[in-house]
Amino acid sequence: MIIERGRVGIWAGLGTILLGLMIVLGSCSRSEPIRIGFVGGISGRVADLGVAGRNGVLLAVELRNRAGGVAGRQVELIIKDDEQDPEVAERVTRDLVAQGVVAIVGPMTSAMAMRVVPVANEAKVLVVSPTVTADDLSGLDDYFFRVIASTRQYASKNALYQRNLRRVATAYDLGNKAYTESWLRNFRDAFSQNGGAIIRTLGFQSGGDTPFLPIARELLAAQPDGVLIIANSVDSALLCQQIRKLDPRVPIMVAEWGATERLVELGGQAVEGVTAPQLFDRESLSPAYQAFRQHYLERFGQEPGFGGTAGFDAANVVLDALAKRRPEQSLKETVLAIRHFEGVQNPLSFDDFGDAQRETFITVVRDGRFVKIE
Amino acid sequence: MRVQSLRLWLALRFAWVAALPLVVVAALVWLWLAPRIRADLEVHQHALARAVADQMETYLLGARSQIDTVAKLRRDLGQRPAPDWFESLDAYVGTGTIFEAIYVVDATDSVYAVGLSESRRVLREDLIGVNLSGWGFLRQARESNQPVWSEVFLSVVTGRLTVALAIPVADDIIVGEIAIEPLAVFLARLSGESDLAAIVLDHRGQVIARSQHTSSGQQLNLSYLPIVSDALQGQFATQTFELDGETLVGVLASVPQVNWNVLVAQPYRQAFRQVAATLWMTAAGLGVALLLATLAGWILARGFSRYFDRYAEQVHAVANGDYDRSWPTFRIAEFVGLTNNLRQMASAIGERERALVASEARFRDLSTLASDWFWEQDDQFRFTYFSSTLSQTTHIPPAVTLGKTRWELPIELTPAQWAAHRAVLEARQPFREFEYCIRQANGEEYWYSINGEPLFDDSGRFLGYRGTGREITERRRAEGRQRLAAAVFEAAREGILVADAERRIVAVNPAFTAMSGYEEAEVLGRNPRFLQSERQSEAHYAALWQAVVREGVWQGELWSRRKDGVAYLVLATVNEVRDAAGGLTHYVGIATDITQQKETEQRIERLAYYDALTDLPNRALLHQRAELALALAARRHAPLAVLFLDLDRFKEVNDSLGHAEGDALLVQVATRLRSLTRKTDTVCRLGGDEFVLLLPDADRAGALRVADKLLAIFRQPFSVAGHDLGATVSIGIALYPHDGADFAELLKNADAALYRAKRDGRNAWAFYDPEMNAAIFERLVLEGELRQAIAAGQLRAHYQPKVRLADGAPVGAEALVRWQHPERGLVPPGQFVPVAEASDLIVALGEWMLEEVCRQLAAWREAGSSPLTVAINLAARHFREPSLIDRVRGLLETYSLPPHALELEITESALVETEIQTLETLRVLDQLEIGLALDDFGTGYSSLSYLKRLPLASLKIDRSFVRDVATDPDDRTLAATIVTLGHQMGLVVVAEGVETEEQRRILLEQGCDLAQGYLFGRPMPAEQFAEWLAGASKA
Repeated sequence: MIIERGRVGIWAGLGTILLGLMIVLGSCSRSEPIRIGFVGGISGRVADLGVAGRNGVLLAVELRNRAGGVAGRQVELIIKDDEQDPEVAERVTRDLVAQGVVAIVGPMTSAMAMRVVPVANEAKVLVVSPTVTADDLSGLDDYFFRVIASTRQYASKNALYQRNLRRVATAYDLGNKAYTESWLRNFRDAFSQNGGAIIRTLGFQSGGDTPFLPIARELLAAQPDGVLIIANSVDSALLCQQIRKLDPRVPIMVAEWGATERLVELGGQAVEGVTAPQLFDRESLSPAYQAFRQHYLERFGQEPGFGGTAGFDAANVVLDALAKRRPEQSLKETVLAIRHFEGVQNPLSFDDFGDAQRETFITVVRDGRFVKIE
Repeated sequence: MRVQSLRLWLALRFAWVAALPLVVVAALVWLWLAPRIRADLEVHQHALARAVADQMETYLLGARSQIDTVAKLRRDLGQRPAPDWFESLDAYVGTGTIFEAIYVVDATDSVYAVGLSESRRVLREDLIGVNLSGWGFLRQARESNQPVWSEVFLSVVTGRLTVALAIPVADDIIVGEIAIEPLAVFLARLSGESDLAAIVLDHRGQVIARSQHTSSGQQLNLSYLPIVSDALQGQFATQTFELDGETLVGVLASVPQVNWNVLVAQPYRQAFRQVAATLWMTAAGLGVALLLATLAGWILARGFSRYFDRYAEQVHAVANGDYDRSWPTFRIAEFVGLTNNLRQMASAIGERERALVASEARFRDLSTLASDWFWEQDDQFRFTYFSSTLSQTTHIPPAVTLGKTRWELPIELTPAQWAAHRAVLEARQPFREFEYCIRQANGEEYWYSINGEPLFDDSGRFLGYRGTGREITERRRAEGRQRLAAAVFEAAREGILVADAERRIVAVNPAFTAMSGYEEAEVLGRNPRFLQSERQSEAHYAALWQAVVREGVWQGELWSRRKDGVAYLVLATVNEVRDAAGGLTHYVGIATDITQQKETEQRIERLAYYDALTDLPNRALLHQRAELALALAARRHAPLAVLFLDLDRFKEVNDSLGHAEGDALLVQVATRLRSLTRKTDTVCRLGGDEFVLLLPDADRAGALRVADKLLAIFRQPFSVAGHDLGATVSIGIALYPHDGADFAELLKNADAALYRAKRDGRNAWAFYDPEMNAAIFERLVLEGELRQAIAAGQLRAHYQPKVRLADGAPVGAEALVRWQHPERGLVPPGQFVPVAEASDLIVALGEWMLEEVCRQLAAWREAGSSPLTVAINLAARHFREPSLIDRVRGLLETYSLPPHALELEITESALVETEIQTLETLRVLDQLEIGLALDDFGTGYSSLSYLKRLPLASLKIDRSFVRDVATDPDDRTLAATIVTLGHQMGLVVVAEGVETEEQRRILLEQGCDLAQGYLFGRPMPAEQFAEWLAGASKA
């Protein structure tokens, strides 16, 4: 009996020592974080939208983690740069899927979305885009969701606003045709219904090596009542600069894609009076927006802009859905089940195809700021 | 206490010894080496950061000097130079490695000249004329007239991050866009393959360039990191921070020229790799050392335990009593010493054990001789030991009880007794003579007495109990018997006295004390002689003792004397008590006081022969004495008189004054009778108000003398309850041998004579006459027949009309009873009514009349006759009947008669005797509206005031006055007076017995209202009366 106990004691002692060693050697394993991905153009000359979107998403994740995470788990954000290159966009999306993300926030542009969405559909990973508005992606029961309306809404709204114009010349970015052509088509439909006509359409390659003066000349050669630019903010600003050099008065319209702070920064005097539809209201006094804006300013030292705001909303859709998801539900089902989410400026509701309906504004640049006019 | 094995113990000790130095080493590494390494790291990083910052500054200053040159050239030119001059700007830009572009901006912030690298020159046309008013630093430069560095922004030309320097020259501003990419390349080269990270931040904390080109970090603002925010506020210190999920340690250095900062950082893990490696090695060494030490300890202990096992075996053998087993031999000095010591110990233990065994055997022998047994309990009070005497002296096999507590045995104790016992046990107190009973299966009870002592070890710890037990069943039974005997002794109603062989009292019981008046203390030690009464002689007592000595017992009645001297009679038994050897030890006397019993017997005898009220001899004693006297008289040929006395109207005394007063009267009568008679005479109360005097030697003259004396003594009134009460007596006398040979006949004849005396007017005496018997006989016969006649329906009611005197109109009738005797024919009322009145038949007669009259009235009403009032005579006694009112009311209801159909008549003489109850009855009848008539008015002595109180409706003038009203003036006056009187009292006056027209006329004149008599109609049967009524009504 005593001998037996002794033997047990020895093994107990050795076991204790080994256990102690194991505790010393092994690090405490924490619960796996939930991974979500971000895809957006955060490098290159038109990175402002992508950077802002990334910042919005980052802020949403950081705030959520600071508040205890989702269902007790931390959220890890994996950020990918699509470099405004469809090939890269597809590749990084596959990387994200491989890394086990449950959802992807992004991309920021429609051209990228055209390559990201099929990959996500294949992997059944939810994609919530802050800013992609391409009409081609609407009305599809896929894994693509967006927190804004399709180009139809903005283009139509813009067309409606510009119904006093009759002859409009248009320049658009061929690098993001999914968006720009969709936009143009929708604008034309609405515009022609009101008796207007697009008298000239010029596509151009964005990339920094394209001189805009010839394009401006060509647009103005048709002596239009107004010029419509469907391009990113930098290209829009530069094109505005060229048009103003040639004609100080012709009305210029910019698509919401180009209507970021960058437009004003680069456009300077040249963009004064330019009208643009906007996805959001920079003057919003909603407490949620003000709180968000304050956080954003503290964290990034910049105004959130529409990219930051949309990124924040999109990320929150994913995070809210994760928090409310029931075990048997897919994330997509959860989003559709919840359907109504709180945006920082106004509520957003998804339709069955994951398209949101949101308010649109028409703004004009006045004294270097976007001012809401309708 | 926790037990460890030697192996574990040794292994742990070895492990401790091995671990301690290693732990010290680890602590030294951690506490001494780590801070040093960190300090080195800080110095190194700081230097590196500074170097990078300087490099940045150098680069930027280089760029600036070139822009300065351009600006100088521009300034030197003065006026706006020719466009070809601007071609030379391209030369400054060169291949674009440093400058992206150099602009010359006019006062409206529009570009009017731009220098570009060759590949970008295609854009020149675009850029000329572009308005840059959106660039805030241009405004700053213009306002301050100083060179201003821009923040980082994306170059319009290249789309890459760039920083611009604006130098104002007159109205123009020279703006040089400086490529930042070379900085990133530089930083990347700086860190090389290492994990060193270098990041350039602008004054907002925005990332400008970083060595590790990860896309996620692009244009990221790092001001949220404490290390960055501190640096932006001018505090540069090495800090640890998290970036991209990695813990870094780093430091910042400023680039003052452009207000930038350079952050140099290194993964924390890598920085302290050396410390970590050292700690890891230490930990590994610790682990191995522990393992080896444990193993060594275990092996060593295994070796030792072989020795210890041998010792253990040996000690075990010793413990089992094997002291002779050979001890192990080892060649280790310590073990040899140990062996020797143990051997000595074993032999010492052996010695002591033998002594102990011997001692124990001695005690065991002793214990088996004792009738007590020994027991032991553990600390839970469970039996652990019983001596063998248990099974010898008790009925409990030890095997059954071992391991049990006492309360698990079938002991009959109440919960309270158990609680008390257990409280003693819990308090660890010794206990003595704890007695209890165990009932065997066959129902027999066995009693045990237990003594117990608590046991404690040296440290005072409670070990249990130890004690002895003893069976006390016999003792308990003896005690029980003794208690019983004592209880009997104490509780007996008989006085008990116990004396010793010398006849000295040793005990008496309470009953003795109660009987004799002597307390026990007063009599102890005394000879019981003092209890003797002088009523019995010494000889009697001597005979008593002789009987006891001879037969062992004496029983009989005995006079004794109480302490207060009063003698009392006892029924006593004296027994001797002998011991087992037949020797006399005690005497026991038992006595019952029978004095009371004797007295009671005497009282009963007296009750049997004497009248309780008057104390006169009763009928039984009279008979005895009469027989005796008669026998004597017969022998001596002497006469003897029997006087039968009966108080006149004694019943009325009883009824009017009450029975107590009646009894008092009887007692006084008895006293007077006794005073009158000789000693040889016997005065006897026969019952009620009847007395008999037996006078031996009294002849007719003697009897007469006595009778006269008797009447004389009754002349004086008796004083009863404060009243002077006159009473008279009637006496019947029978003489021996003339009137009868035996006493029964004499008494009967005396009674007959008494009846005659009563009939002759009372307050008189009468001698017996043989005819008397016939009259009495007839009376008795009549009474019996009348009783039957009522039942047999031989009675008849006759109705005598009552008319209005003025016109002779019939107003009613008086109902009169008639007896239609089956043999004698119609018996006159004068014959049977007195007989009925003398007995209770008068009430039955009245009842019958009431019923018959009511029935007849109802029949007449049925027949349609005019309603009449019929009067009925009721005896005074009948009015005393409490049921009369209910009876009358019931009859009226039964026959549906109105109350005024009946009139009840009461004679004046009867009314005089009435009591309060009768008056009350009359009032109730009056309230019932039944008319009341006073019959035979004038014959009694009723006072007018008395009459006035009565609820009368009418007066009837007695026929004796009416008879002579025509002839006797006195009667005529009297009648007139009565009429006047009646009228004055508001009564209707009725004349009875009107037989002549003369009488009618006079009475009418006098104002008499109604009359009845032969003049108007005789009493007649109902049918006849109805006819008469019909005729009278027609007339």
